[in-house]
Amino acid sequence: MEIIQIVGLGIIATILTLVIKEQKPLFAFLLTVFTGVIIFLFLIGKISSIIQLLEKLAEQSNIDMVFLKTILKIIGIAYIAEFGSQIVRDAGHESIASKIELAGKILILYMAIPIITVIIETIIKLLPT
Amino acid sequence: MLHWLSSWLREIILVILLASFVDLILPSNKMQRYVKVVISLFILMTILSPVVSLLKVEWDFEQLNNEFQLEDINTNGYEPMSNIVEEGETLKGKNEQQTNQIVQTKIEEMVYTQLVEQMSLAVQSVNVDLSIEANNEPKVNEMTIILKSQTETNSTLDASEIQPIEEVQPVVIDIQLNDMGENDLNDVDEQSNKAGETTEEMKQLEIEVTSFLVSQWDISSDQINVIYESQHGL
Repeated sequence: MEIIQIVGLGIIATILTLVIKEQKPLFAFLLTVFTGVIIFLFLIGKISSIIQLLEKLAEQSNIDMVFLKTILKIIGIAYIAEFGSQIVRDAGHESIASKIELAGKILILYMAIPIITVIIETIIKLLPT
Repeated sequence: MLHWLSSWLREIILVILLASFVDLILPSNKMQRYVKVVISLFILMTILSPVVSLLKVEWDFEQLNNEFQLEDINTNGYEPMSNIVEEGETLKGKNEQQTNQIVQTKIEEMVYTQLVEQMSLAVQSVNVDLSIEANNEPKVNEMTIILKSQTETNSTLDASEIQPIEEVQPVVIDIQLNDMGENDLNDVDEQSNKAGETTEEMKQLEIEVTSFLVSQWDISSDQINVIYESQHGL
């Protein structure tokens, strides 16, 4: 029953944060970050098993492993950027949060550059010159 | 073909499945659009992959054509290549043998006519033993010339009226001198005298014929055998 553990942890952390926020806003922020990290650590085991399943699927179907790796990297980038930007937004710094999000978007598009070039080349070759 | 199609389809299906998984995992925020665009590109790439591989390969049309032709030959029940080559080899061997024979008879004829016309000899027959060298050039191994014996030539002289043989006799004048000496020494009667005469003549002629053939045919004197018919007969 890990979901109960995680929900309980979340609720307690929220209450503590609300209590501390009046006295020390800095500690409240740190508490939020730690709570997020701990919940993520709880999930790491499950995530690894999901990724293993995906890898097995890809191997069986002879999919290019580059595809899978890129997709996983994109998911990771999306998650990490999301996590950071939300925490920063909670701390009240909207501009920094949006910069983190921008960095995440650009890195995701950067991952897609090889595929985009291959597709564009193919389409150009297909068209009669 | 079917195998390739099924693998292609499986790839597409799995990529789409993967994409939907990713869609579920994705944080529900602004990032989603970007991630979705990239994943849709992946799916497009997978669908296009046969086209990409077609464009990547540089087709060697000549080789393809050859392969098709080979297939045609094999399916039409033609003999396999190795058999044809083997047959060709045997035919080539036969052909070489035939040429060898033709060259041999030609050389024999040429030697015969040369001896008859230029040396005014009564030649019974000429045998040439030929062999083909590595560079496909024929080489004379041995040349056997069978001459009609002197007595016989005299008889054939009347029969087939070969005039030049008359001229041979003056050439043999010095031999007659030898004969005279022999005559003096041995003091034998006419017939045996005549026999001795012929052997001397024979030797002389042999040398002449041999040197003539050596100069004409560029072969060494050991390769030439001059035999008189009477000797041959014996």
